[in-house]
Amino acid sequence: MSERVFRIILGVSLLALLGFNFAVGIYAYMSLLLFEGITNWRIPILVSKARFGDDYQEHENVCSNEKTATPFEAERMLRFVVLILLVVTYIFYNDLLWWFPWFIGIMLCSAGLTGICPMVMVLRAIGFR
Amino acid sequence: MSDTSTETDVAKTVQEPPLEPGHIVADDWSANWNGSVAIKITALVVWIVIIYSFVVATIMVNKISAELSQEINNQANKVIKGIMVTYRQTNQMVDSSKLESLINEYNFIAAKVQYDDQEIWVGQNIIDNGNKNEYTSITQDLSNKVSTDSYHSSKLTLFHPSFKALEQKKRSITFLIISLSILSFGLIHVFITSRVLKRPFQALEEASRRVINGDLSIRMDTRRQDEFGKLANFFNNMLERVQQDKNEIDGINANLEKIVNERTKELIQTNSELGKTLAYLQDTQKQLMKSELEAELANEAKSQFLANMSHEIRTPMNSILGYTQILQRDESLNEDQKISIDAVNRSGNHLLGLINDILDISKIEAGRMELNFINFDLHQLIRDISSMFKLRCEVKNIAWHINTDAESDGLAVRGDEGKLRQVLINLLSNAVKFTNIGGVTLNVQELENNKFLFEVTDTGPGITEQEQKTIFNTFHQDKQGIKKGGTGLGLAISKKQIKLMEGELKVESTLGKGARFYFVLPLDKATGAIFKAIPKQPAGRLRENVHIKALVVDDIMESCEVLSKMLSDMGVEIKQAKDGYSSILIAEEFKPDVIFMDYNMPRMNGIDAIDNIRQRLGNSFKAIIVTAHAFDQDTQKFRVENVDDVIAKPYTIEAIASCLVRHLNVEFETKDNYTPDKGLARAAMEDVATSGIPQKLTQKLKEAVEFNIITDIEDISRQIGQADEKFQPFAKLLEKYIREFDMPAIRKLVGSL
Repeated sequence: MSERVFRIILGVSLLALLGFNFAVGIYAYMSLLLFEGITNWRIPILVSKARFGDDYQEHENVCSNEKTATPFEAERMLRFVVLILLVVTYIFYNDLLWWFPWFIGIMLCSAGLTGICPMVMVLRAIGFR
Repeated sequence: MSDTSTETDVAKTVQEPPLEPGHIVADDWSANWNGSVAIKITALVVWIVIIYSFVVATIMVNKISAELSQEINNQANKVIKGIMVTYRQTNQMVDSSKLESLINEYNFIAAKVQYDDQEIWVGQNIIDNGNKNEYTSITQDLSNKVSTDSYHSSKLTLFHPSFKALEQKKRSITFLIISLSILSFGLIHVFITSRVLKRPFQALEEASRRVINGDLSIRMDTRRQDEFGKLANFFNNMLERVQQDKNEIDGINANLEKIVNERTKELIQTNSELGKTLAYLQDTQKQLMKSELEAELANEAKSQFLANMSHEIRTPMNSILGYTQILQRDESLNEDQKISIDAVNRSGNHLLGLINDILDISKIEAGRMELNFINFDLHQLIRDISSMFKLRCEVKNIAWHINTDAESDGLAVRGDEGKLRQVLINLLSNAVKFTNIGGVTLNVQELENNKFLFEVTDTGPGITEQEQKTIFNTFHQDKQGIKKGGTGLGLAISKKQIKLMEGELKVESTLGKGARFYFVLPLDKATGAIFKAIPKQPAGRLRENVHIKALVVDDIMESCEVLSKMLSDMGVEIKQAKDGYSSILIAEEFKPDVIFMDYNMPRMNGIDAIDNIRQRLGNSFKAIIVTAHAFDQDTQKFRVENVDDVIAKPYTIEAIASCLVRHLNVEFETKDNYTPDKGLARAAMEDVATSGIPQKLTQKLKEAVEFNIITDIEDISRQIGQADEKFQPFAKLLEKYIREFDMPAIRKLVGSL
């Protein structure tokens, strides 16, 4: 499973949870992001490993980021970014920024669809791997 | 849509890693952004739509509260209206069932009607059991609606879901719809964009790839009317043009190839012909080299033959001329005998001159003539030649003119003095020979760049144009020349010698008006000592107090005898040797002052013999090599360290005498006390003394002698001889002196009258 596919899944999931106002689901969603961010056991990797077993090898320097300043992966950082944004906009400032989680969900979907994730591009530009 | 993102997606790196299953997790979002125009357009459009939609939706959702409130009020009014209708119909307050149907109809959760201390509830349990925060109530006063005293101060309370919940629900529904719409839009957009954008680009990409691979026949679909259609059209036109050019180039290439093939064939043919020519040329070269070698050998043989012939002829000539010279000095001979001896001597010298001319021309034609550059005085040379030919002209009673600065100080130049002298003598001899009236002029002028013009002009019969073309040919003589005698080699030799000296001998002549022979020679100014010709030493006897011992070595008896006689007549003590070996012993014993050594001798040549004698006697003697080899390069080879001089055969008594003067510094009797042919002179004097020459003739003779008028002297001499037989010896003696141009002897003889 590639990150791109997982983007779509994340996006659609978030939209569905928001649509049905399933607060528990949204919290579980946030927990998943937190788990992936802390452990770096990202679901795409886990699925690939489960699928291909010993044949699985992650490419090094697979992404064309010449400005890597830290070994911290941008994909991992993305989880934290999304989590933080969700926490802020869904829990703390929901009255004012109730629309932002929807925006996150839509952007996740569009990233998966188009193959372009501006947030990751920005994180890589900053120096994440 | 761009390439499907599956497990086999390859993240774009600088080098695309090979596809391996399930290995790639991270996606290169930047590469995706950079990799496709369609993706970029899609992403931008989707983002714009998202932002726009969100803005619009946010604005819309913010109005939900007001709308909800309005809607609830409207619905509450409808419920109240229902209650009023019921009251009007029944004249009673609505009951719970009717109330329940009303609230269900208008989406209320619960309702309560309060009147006359009574309450009618619908959905009370929901309210009591539920979270009070989830519901909002709205109370309407029915008093003014129900006009009865029994229902005054009646109230209707309606319960509906809280605004927040309603609001949230509304938002959710709205944004869900919007999100789905955006997703759908995005999907459709991506789909459409890929079809609209990507396919044409892919088609263009494919077409370009095929063109790169060489397929120019491909053409793109030009049915589209948009920019892609135009691009496809232009692409097709470009391909047409490229194909045309390619066809043209192919045609030209084919043509060129054809031409190249033809040229190659021609080249191969030419090469093969060249090869044959080369082989032929090599053969020819070999033959030429062989011919050259043969020519060289022939030349060598010719030169050797000439040298040998020169030697073989000169050796007996030496004896002939030598003995004639000796006999000429013999006082015991009578007049007729002396005349005969003179004739033999003249003939011998003439023959020698002929041989020298033939040898010269042979040398020149064999390329063996070499120039002998020396520093000499040009003016002195002119003076010598002038004095020689002045006398000859006087004898022929023709004028002698000279235009030169020869009377001024000497002019030292560098050149072959001998050959220049020979040429001038030859030209002047011809001029004097062929001129009977008028005169001969010698003109020498200095030109620019160290060049000199030499001109010999005469007033003779002239030369026809036809004769001028052949006059320099070897052995050529015109009628006059044949009549006058000569070998026909003089001009040929002169021309070749002048050419050797980097000049050119030319002739200008008009028949009946004389001839002009001229040439220009480069003569550099000389630096260093000037060669001075040793003046000819007249032959005579050594002074009484001079005693010289000479050893004469020659294997040919006649040559030895001739030289010995010449030396003994001079008063030199001589010894003879027949070869080199015996000469060594004799020299050691005799201790001569000078050795005259022949070169060509059996067993030991002259130079080896001299070397041996030098080892014994050192430098106490002068060594003179006598040789019949007349070529300069031959005589030069004899001028080695132990040899003091070289004399060529046939030699004259004067040459021998000059050699003694030069090397031994001896003195001969002077002209004052020298009376050649004393016997004859005495006899002549006795005849004059007894009979006496007529005074008139004597006077005329003396005047002629005084003014050096040779023709008059000759004429008077003839008259004297004809006057009386006893005067004939005198006349003959005088004529002899005239022939020899011996003016001092003439003066001496005439002065004694």
